[in-house]
Amino acid sequence: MTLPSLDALRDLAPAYVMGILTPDELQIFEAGMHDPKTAAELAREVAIQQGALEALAASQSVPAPEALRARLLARIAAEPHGLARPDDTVPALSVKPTPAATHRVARSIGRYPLVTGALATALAASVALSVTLQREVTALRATLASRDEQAATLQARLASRDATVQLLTDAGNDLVVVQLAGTSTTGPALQLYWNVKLGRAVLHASGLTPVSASRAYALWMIKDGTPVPLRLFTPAENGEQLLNDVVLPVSAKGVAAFAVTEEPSGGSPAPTMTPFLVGAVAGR
Amino acid sequence: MDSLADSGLLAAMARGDERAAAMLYDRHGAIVYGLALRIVGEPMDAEEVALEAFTQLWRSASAFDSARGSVLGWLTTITRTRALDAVRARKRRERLSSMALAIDVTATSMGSAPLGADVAVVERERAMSVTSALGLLPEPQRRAIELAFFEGLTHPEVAARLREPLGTVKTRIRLGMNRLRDVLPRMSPEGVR
Repeated sequence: MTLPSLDALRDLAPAYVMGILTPDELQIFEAGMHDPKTAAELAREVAIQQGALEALAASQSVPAPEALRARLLARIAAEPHGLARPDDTVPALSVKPTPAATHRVARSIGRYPLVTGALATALAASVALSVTLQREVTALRATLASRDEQAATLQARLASRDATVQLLTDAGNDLVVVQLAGTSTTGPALQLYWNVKLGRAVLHASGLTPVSASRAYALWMIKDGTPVPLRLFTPAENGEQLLNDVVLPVSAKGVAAFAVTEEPSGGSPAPTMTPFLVGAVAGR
Repeated sequence: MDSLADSGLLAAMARGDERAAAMLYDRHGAIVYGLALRIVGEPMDAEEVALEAFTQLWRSASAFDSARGSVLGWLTTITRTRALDAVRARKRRERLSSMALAIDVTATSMGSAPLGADVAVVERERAMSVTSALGLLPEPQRRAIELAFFEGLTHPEVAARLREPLGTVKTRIRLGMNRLRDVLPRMSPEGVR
């Protein structure tokens, strides 16, 4: 094969890294990559073009929806690790079929009788169509599964909100609201909405500093002068926490206050630090 | 783990470390999602492409060969390939639908819901940034690159679309990409690793 000039080979490098060379172009470019006279220069050009490709991709950067990260982590957790699928083949430096390639195939079977050629073409077309449809079915199933996953997440979130609202509205006169605050007016804060009738409470915290994996925040009830551990929780990255299933007594008798401390993630029988959030129960 | 290079994170992913996958997503998720959105045009489809790209990376992490390029380069290629496949599949479906349905469906009812205000703002900002970067290129170079990179057209297809000689198109794409490589890292907040 006679290679074109180095400049002409260089011109193929961007399409090479984009994976859109035609079969003929790819053959020429790969020959150039293996020719001692041009190999080093083309390897350098490929590296340059790879950098350009990354820069162009980076320029498209758009903040992804917040829920996408959680969806990804859920998906990879359910994914068999290290098992590449057949459609995982990445045509990073591959070839795109063109009409020219199809013509070559047609010419190669041209010496057979017409009917054989027609049958071969029909067979090839039906196989290609079948493969294409199969891929689309697979892709559609994956999309459907993903939508189902999203719908289930939304339904669970909605059910949780319903439970929260019901807990608050069912309380009537038996709703006790406790505001827990620290020394700073701009620091973390926590509200507890206690449905005394049901012995359940909704907890909403904001401005909390995220804790390490070995630590958690602990909610305490000060009853008859003794701190009683109620619930461990760790806030989201934004420092927020909403719980609608905090279990409390069905009577506020003897309950003077609620408090929050930071404890080991396994909890503690008694506070190991001075509470940084404290809220008295009104009228106690 | 924060200080690990991309290749270190990929090695951790190859060992099954999901935290490494989360870290890599935090670094490159916006690029992957933005590139997918630019190619497929629909936020929901872009999310699906981004999920597929990172999941594929998770499955194939052990196959990464740093001698063949960077992790971001690999991720870019996977994302672009998946996005272009999604566009082609959507076009085929639309063609089949239009042939099969005798019902006169208006373009409005077939299209997606309008973008929310926040998405629209982000879209507009992104478009401005890209436009300003690509806008530094002469129009013929810019158009040729857009057709090749975002639409996946081959040289002959780009030449036919632009009605330009094949050799001219090849040179324009290369010169334009060289120029972008010099300009874009300075314009992108993340730069290029």
